[in-house]
Amino acid sequence: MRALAASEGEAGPDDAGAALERLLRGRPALHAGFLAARAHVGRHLGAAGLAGWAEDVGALYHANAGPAVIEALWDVERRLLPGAGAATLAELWQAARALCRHAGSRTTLALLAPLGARLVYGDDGRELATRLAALAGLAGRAPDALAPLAGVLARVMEALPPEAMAQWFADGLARHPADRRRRAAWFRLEDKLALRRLDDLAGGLRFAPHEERLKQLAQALFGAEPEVRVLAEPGFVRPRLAGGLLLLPARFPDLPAGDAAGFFEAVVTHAACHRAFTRECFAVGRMKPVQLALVALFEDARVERLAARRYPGLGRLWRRFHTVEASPAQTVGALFARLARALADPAFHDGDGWIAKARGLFERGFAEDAERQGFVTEIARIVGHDLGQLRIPFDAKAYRVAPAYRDDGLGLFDWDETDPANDDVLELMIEAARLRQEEVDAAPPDPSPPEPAAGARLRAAPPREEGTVAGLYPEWDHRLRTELADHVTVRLYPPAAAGSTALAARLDAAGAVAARLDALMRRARLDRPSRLRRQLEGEEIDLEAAQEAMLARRLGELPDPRIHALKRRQGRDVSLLLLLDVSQSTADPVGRSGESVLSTAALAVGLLGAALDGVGDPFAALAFASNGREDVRVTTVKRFAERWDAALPRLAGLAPAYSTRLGAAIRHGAAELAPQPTHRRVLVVVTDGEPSDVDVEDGAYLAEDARRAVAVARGQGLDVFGVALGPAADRACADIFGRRNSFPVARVEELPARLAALYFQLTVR
Amino acid sequence: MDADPPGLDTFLLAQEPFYTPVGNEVALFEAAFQEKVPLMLKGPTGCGKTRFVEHMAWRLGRPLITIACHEDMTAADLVGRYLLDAEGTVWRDGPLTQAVRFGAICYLDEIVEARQDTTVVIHPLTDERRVLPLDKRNEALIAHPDFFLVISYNPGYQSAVKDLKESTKQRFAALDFTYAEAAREADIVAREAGVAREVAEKLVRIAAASRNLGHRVLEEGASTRTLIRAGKLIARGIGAAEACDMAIVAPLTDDADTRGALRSVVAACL
Ligand SMILES: Nc1ncnc2c1ncn2[C@@H]1O[C@H](COP(=O)(O)OP(=O)(O)OP(=O)(O)O)[C@@H](O)[C@H]1O
Ligand SMILES: [Mg+2]
Repeated sequence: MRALAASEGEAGPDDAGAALERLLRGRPALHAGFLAARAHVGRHLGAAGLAGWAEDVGALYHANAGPAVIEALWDVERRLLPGAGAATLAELWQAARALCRHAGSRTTLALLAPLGARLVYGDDGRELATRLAALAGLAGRAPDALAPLAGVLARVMEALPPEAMAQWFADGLARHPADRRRRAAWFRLEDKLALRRLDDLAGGLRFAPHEERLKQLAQALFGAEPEVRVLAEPGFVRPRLAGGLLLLPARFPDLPAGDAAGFFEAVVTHAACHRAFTRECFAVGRMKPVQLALVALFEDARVERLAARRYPGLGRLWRRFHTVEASPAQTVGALFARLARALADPAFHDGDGWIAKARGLFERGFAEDAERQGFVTEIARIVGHDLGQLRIPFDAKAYRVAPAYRDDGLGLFDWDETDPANDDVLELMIEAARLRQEEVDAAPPDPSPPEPAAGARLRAAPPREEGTVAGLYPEWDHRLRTELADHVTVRLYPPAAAGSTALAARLDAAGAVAARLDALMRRARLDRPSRLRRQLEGEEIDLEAAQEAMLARRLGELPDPRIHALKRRQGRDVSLLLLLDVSQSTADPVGRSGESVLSTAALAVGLLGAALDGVGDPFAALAFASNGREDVRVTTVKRFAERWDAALPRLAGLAPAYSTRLGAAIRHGAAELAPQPTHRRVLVVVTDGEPSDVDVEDGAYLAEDARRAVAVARGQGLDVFGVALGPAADRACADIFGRRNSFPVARVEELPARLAALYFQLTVR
Repeated sequence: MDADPPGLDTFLLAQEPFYTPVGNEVALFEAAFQEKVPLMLKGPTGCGKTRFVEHMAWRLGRPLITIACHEDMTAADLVGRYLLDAEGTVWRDGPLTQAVRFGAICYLDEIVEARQDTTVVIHPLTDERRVLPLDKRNEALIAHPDFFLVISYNPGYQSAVKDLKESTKQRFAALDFTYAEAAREADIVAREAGVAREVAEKLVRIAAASRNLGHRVLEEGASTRTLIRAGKLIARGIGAAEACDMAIVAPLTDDADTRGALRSVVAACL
């Protein structure tokens, strides 16, 4: 066919598709369109291109596409032609033909409309061709999917680039290979999962998929992990530093396409540079908004250069986003973007005099003393003034920092040090303050030292009822360096009755974690094999024993017949007692989930308990809090002898109240654990803060006592570990349990995924 | 040396093993050797403990017998056993016994890997008695005056099961090892891998960054050894990023996020 058409085409452009042309004479409207399209295509592709084109048009016509589809394609072509090549056009026609064949021309037309609507004149048509090919592929496999899709195609295309869109099609087919009704729901976007997948695939532009990687990157390169919050706020379109937080807009309107991984890497590393090198905030004083913007711009360049001295690859990463070209444009936006590039990229040339001067001043200042932040303010004043002389206006509200990966600069200033007469910066100041508010709202609960507020919290606690006395324990007074005998009373409180259905449901929902634990458990159960020597029978000869047997025979002695070796996976010999801190601070919410620290910890304990049930390690759990030394409150969640099921309702019934007298709890836990007959006896304390209690003022007293309690328990042969929830607990735990034996869980929401894993890490080789 | 049987000559180091001291560990080792205080070298993997012992053996002119400990190792593997041959039975010294008998430095590498019932055989060697009981021969072998015991111990393992007994630990004096500081580590890498100094410096930066992830994310950061490996690949003409991926990133972790982070670290440092 193609060869025939080609030889036909060699006769001359006007003869291309001559047969088709004759055929169309009977349909005047289409005929006219054909002639016009042929002339247009011929102009751009020449005779050679035209032949193939005419053949494709003919093929579509013969496939009974109907005139509307053909005309729609001609229309698309008209817009594409300066940009698209013959091959792309051929792809379009062929994909359209496949679509028509499988889905019919009505549906094809309905799909072409949103596709065409996205085209701009001179587009190279690649995206369109890829999308059409994906649609044709879908049509080949599930023609029924296309009619439902037509109505939402515009939305799908808006959300997904072509490859991701093809993936979303494939997901729909994989999910509903047979059920047409549900498949239709997927492609009509009426299926919840279809929407979720759409979001996931669009996630290239969301921060979440990159968060963990980039936190680790910042930690590795700069030794500090950023706290990131994503905020969906109208008008908030640039990252912002707010105290220790990095705030990110949920959407960047002008994000470079296709490089989300690099973009977010640039965002996070840039912010980390400020943390590392912007030593103090700049005083606002009498600076005008334009000068503030320049200070931020120069400071950005300064900190990036300092970082790139050690990490040249970061310089290359950031430069990828400096895409502005040299130009004579003299708006503030254009000038600043080019100045930013000029400072970041030594190879960049721009003819503008103002940029040249700013660049020169910066280079001099940086060469003199790059560590001195002050030079940035000095040159910002000078070039800001020059800008005024040039009568180039600065609109603070419209100004957007470029490139988009850089923070908006507001977080670099100390707004308290603003000259009262400086009205021009009022709006910026309000904006900065608004975010400082956000920061407070978004900040994680502060589990800092026993502050007076703890007392207030305690008053809100339920009225005191006496528990049964479970033991009297000593306490260590670090200043007297002596143990105060029988100083604390530990009382047992019965568990509150509570329905465990909610907890059970959350345990079920944590299926992925449970599955991971399952794998760990199986490994734990199997443990490493060890070789049992000198067995009467076994799968291999114990060479050593055999040697000896031979020797004995030579010496005329009675040989020991146990000359075999066995490989056995030996049983585990570990018991665990878990101490769970349920003091009032565990009522604080975790992250944005709305769950409290305690309910998160309860979920973690639930998962661990189920896993241990599977492995068979003896396991007990106690919850503890305290209300002065006469009332250290312990609730049994699970005794060693009990089945795990019995514990679940008690775990669900735990309620946060009172303080944390850690040492007493450890002594009590150790006393319960010590009689266990296993080889290893492991005590794990899960706590969210430093020890504190109502009747103790000296901040170090309870921590020192806890340290002592840990040492004593270790002396008894127990292995004692601390799991620290949140940063303050981390510090306290490292002191009390020792670095090696404390496990920080900075993000409490990760505890369920980590607690059991930690335990196995501790007890499996 | 007269006392050395011909066999032990092979344990003498002919050439000086290259070692860059990090602190005054050379003097401390020498003092411990003179006093015959058994020594424990603590430190993360691949930071130069083995190399240091080799270097000291060379300095002191003593043969060095290195034993890599593993789980299946028995006391007989250390001490020796009877073997059968045509004439009858012969006793064959184990490596530890050889060292004790002829006065070598004996280095038990990664001693935690051995089972605890195996490691107890060293106890009588580590106190004033300095004897090695050869139960099978009904003999207590008194150590040669030059016999010296060194063990290595990596405290990084956070496992309650896999740890040395307190009673074993306390028989040793300990030297703490860490990675050499940046400039020196770069010297070591440049020399051992045969790469330019700038390349070595970049590798060292990558390692330093990875060590920032220690404990929370990784068990340990990249060791000097992995840097040398990466350097050797680079010296063979492999691209730096690829070499680092192969020798540093991939061995450290299987976690996708952490790999991603480490790859970015490599990209940032190169
Ligand atoms: N201070 C140093 N001087 C010279 N070379 C060193 C030094 N530190 C490390 N190296 C190099 O690092 C490599 C690894 O060191 P070595 O094998 O001694 O580590 P190690 O601490 O014994 O490790 P492991 O605990 O895994 O046995 C050596 O081959 C050597 O090339
Ligand atoms: Mg900045």
